[in-house]
Amino acid sequence: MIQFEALTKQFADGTLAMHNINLEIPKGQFCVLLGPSGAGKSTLLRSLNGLVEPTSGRIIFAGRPITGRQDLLFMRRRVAMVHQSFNLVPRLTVLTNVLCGLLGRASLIKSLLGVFPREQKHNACRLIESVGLSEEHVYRKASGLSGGQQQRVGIARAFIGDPEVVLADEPVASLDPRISRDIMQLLRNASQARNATVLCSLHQVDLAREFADRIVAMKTGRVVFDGSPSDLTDEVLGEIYGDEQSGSRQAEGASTIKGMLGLGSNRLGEAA
Amino acid sequence: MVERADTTGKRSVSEWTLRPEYTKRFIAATLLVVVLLTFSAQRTEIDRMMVMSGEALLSVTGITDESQVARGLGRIFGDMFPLVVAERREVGRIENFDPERLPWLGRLETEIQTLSQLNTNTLQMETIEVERQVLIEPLGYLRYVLWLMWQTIEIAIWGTILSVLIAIPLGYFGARNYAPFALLYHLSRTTSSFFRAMPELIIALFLVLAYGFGPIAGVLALGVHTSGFLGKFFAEDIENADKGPQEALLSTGANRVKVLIYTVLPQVAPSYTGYVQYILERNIRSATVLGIVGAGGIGQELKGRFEMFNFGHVSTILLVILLTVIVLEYIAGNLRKRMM
Repeated sequence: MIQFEALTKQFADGTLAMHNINLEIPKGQFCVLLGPSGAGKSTLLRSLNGLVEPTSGRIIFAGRPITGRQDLLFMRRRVAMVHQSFNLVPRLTVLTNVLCGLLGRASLIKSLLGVFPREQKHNACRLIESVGLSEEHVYRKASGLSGGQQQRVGIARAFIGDPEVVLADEPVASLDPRISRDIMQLLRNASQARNATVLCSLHQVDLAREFADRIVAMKTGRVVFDGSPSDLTDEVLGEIYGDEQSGSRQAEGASTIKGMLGLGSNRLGEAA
Repeated sequence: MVERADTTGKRSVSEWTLRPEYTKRFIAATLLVVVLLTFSAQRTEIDRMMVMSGEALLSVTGITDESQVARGLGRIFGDMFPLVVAERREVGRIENFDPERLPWLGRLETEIQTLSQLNTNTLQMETIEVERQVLIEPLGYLRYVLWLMWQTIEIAIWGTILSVLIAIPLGYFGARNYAPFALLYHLSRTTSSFFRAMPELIIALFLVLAYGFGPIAGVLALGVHTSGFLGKFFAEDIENADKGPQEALLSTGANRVKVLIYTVLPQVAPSYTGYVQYILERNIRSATVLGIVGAGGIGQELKGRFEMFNFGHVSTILLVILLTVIVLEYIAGNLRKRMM
């Protein structure tokens, strides 16, 4: 479905966000990207909908190399994204926010007038229901919803265009653990129902283990691990999150992860 | 505090350097400003103004009896009262006049007018008395002024509509993140600044030459001048709008215009309404003045009456303008409260 070929991105300030990424992600796979902040997960995701333009290398999407503007538009219409900070339009209603996911295809005149076909509205309502919201939410402003509800709308917006690939950039980073699991569940169910490929970056290792078909770990712009959740051992985690220079720091990193997992750690206090 | 012995190599308190209250630079700068202002005061006749105002003050208190200023102002204020609210028109000059159908509150009066006329037989000037009928409408002039005031408000409304229409492209292309290329951005921003910098009275002056006397010049002048403000405000709000939702929609393949309408517009709508409301308010104030250069509305009547020394009429006009502005402020204030 998606192939990254030697993808590299260097920002204007010289930061190497991606370095020679080679990955192939088959259709229908739920692939989780792990790694510390600044590892390049977001950059990789954003390169798939053109928000980041790679410095070198290329993306092959559904067998089509993405090079020109037309290719980019082709890809964008098949890729949807769920954002960390939801990125809903606060003053628009839930329904309009969901329908916004179709703007790439809607005619300019109709979208200027704010008119959407009845059938699309029904589709949107079905999705709103399937993400766990009800009729009372349809005409409520997005700004009046809780974080979890907003992300549900975000997922509905992503899926309304029947995407082949869904990118989720830390979709649960600003939500509490229980709601995080609900949202991940929603994401998985929705994508399985449509056989959509999911690329999801996460910070929570436990969620990654629970939901992923495959885990790709990144560190300083490189892929350092690529395998099934069962292959993701504590040693590997230590390597991903630890500091490369000092062994003790590495252990500390691993124990921090254990702490995050609720495995208990005696060094967490010292670290803080 | 007792002065402590210098043990650490630091200077004792009495030796600390203290700064003078006024530095030499400050004194020199002050002197320079005074000298410059003195020169400029002569050029702007500040000295004469003081002398004349002093005289006026003295004559008012009765100490002296001659003052040009007091005389002028006294004559104007004397003529300004009572206010003229009635309209007197000679019946013979009214087209299609029907004595059976008098206007509201109208009544007919017969007055005798004395005229000097040349007698063609004797070739001598002689006074004759002519009887003529006049139509008197007790509130006729007030009604006319109110009608003009309404026309002025209409000029302001259309000026504001035009201003918004011009400001939409200026705002869109003047937003750095939406302008398709840099040249267009600079062009829009420069146009906005230019429109802002051109006083509307001067724009109106030129437009009166082009379009003739009347409201057209007023509407255009207001629209052009204030679009400079709106264009800048619109552009800056677009630039400062939250980027997250815009990225979200852009990544679904929506083009810039759709992204703008669905993410930026809902965000900036409240402040845009505020700007437009303010522009409408100031346009009504400006429209009252624009007539002075012939651009229609109440100002044109004001100028005409002023030049004919009809100060009774002038005071009616001024009163109507004053009341309108007060009512307007009140309505605008209430509207703002309700919007918040």
